[in-house]
Amino acid sequence: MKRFMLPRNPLMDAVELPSSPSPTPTTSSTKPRPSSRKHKPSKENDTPSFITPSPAKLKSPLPPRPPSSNPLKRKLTAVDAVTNNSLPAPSDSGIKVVVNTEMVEYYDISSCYILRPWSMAIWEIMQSFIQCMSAILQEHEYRIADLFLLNIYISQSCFNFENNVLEFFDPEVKKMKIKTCYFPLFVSPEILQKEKDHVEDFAPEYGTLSSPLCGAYRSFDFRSRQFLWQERHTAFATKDEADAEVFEILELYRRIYEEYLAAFIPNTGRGIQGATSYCLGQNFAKMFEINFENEKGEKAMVWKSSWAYSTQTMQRGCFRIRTHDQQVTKTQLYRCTRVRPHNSILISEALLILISINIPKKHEQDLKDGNWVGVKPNP
Amino acid sequence: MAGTEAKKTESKKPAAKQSGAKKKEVKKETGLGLTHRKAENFGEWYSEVVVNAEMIEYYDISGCYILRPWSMAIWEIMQEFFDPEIKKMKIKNCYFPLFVSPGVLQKEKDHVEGFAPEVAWVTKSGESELEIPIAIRPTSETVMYPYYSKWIRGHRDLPLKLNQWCNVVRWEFSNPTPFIRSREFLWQEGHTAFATKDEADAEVLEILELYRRIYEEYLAVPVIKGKKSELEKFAGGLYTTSVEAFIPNTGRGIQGATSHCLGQNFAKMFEINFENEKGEKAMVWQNSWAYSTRTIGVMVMVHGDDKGLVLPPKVASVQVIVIPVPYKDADTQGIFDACSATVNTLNEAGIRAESDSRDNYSPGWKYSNWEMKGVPLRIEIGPKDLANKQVRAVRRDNGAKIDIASADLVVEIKKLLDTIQQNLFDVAKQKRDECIQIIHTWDEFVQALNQRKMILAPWCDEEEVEADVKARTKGEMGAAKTLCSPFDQPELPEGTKCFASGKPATKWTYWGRSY
Repeated sequence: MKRFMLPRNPLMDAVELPSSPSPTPTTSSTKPRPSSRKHKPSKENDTPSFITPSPAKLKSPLPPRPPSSNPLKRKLTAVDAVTNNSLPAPSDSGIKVVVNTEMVEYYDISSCYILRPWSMAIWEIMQSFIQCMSAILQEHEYRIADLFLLNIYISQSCFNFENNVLEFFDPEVKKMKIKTCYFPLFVSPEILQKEKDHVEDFAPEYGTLSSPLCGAYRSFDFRSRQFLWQERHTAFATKDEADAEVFEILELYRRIYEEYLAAFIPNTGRGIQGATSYCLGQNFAKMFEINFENEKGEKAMVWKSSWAYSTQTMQRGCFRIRTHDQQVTKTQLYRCTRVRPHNSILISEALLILISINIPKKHEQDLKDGNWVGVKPNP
Repeated sequence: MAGTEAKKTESKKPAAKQSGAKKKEVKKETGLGLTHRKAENFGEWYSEVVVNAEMIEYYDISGCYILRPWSMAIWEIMQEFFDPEIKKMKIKNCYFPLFVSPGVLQKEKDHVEGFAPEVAWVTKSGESELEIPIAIRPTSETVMYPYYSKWIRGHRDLPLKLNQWCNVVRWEFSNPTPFIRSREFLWQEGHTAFATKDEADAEVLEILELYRRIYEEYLAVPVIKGKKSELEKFAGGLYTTSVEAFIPNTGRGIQGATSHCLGQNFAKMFEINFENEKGEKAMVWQNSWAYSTRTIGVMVMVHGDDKGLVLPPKVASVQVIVIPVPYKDADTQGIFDACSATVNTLNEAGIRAESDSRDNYSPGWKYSNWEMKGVPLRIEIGPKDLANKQVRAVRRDNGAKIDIASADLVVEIKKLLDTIQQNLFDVAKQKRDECIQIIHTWDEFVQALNQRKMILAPWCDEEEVEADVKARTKGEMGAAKTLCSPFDQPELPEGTKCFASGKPATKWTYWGRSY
């Protein structure tokens, strides 16, 4: 797919002021860009400058720049022109939201994006959130108080971006044991070939783009060639334990959705896969010979499960904002995403899509029968 | 590695029931213990410790290592200190892609020449060749600065201060060493742009102070702050400051972390300009600074001993391990309950404590196991302790045993952990200071180098002289070079001559071999 770059002053085109026609677009180089320092606490309630621009307020307008020898800059400029003429209308707003709110920047390698501080802060808050969730799961019980504290934590974090978000951890959650590790980035071809199914599932994505979620938004692809994620891989002696963990995660998602985020559900009629929880069974154990001697002295294979969420979750949260166009005017949306106290809306949108679960087909019937609720691991 | 596999097999032998006091007996009976001694065979000792302490696992691609939870926890604890500190400085986190296009990479030639041999390239996707190969970042200057150029236009866009926590790849070919030199490692890299040089200079030192604190306050490793020579500075930068550590067993310096003032060179290359308050066009002043998982390797080298790893309490994911010592006919359940209660009490007080109640290992085996893993403090609870309402604490750093009343547990354990942290630093500093040798002549220099000293020498600060010293000391042990010129300069009497060239000396500089 083609990479779309936006014109330097897209906000001017996007804003539709109710009381007057759109101002005449001016060349981008004559207007200074809003500085990130405008997000300081003392200015958090100011009207963003792009909504009510005034020539009288501009200081030191920059003269047009001479042609740049920076090939990247020339490329950006060229693409700007193309974008102006060829962007299909339905996708325009979605792209503008993530770029204009300074969440991402397009990179010179297609389908790679820069996550700017505005996005990174959300990802960091979500990481802290998932740490709490992970810690709670390890205790195999879900306490309303913990979830309540998580919600407070999330809300307060929006007002304290520059503080250490860990300060808001429930002290008790902080004591729970979470272990992380780091495996190298590289895989040798022999190991990759070991699990042929695994390779076949992933091979098309090595360097090729995935299909867009739907045609109307073809030009805004939610997938990236590189993204950040958290992945957890667990191994158990018994299938019951592995099954229990899959459903524990699901139950926690359900409770967050129903008990804390219900107020934010928009009526879109569309599900999005926000996070996944798989029971891997024993297939990988067989391929990689993950065996153990059980209590009877017999050789057995472990049961594995994995679950993950990623920055795509956050990107889809942005997509959800897109669907609010009918209910929230663009002006209000920009205000919401720019003014810090309202970031909870943005963050809750990201959290909301954690409710979308991809369950292996063989468990679908269990879900319909309601058998999955309350499954506990063996003592 | 065949040797490593053999060792792993050995360490998994079924444990004997008894524990022995002597080293040989311990090793024989428990299957634990190190084959090599730190003082006799440092390199083999190090390779053995990081594996046996479960810090890393070797990976099937050479020069790449798996960081196991025991290591990752240390990295995370340091991050929990550093990340809030830079946020106080209004530095924000971001994430730039892993990949660099060749055109951008080539833009800064000095920079590229510094890294070219180590850049890894992606040439295929699936089964197809890429039209244009893509590099994997060895560092992120060339990844980020085209966008600094785009985002910075006026003085109000400054300062722009970004940091990222990420991995980098440097396809090193020589001497892979876990944590110290690997093809992929984790680090933090900060990249900042300012309107004035004064601002840039100030930040370089602020960040360097944070790095000193990581080493001295968290890892208990003494470091020296100083400036790198022209030959050793960051390629393409204006000047480089660093915190330098020293490994007494090998007589080698090791660069702990670096904070670079890039000057305006990258701004010139990437056209990072802004309109200043007078309406004039100006270039920004830039810094970049980083520390990496190398920090963990330095800590292991400095503090480890012949029993294994020694962890400073502040970076230990388990600060206290509680071990039940059941005895025939004794109240076993009471002992286990006391262990659980002890762990809970300590955890409630913010101390990271765990108990080891595995029933398939003897207490003696457990002692050796946790000593190998470097847990700062061990608590033993047996029938006598239970009866006396006390616990026995054993320090990992010096083996001292202390009986503590249960009623005073939290206060006393906290004191002990602080004492251990300070003692590790004091011992390390004493050892390093004993290795510092001030010399004045070439003959003295050569002698000190052979004695594995950290050499403080008067120097004329000329690049050719430094290159000459390298050439003259080249050998199988590696050449000597400058480590840094310390900010704390001793007095340089008038007329002092450079130790290597005989010309008038202008400064004191640390010299030695380094990792």
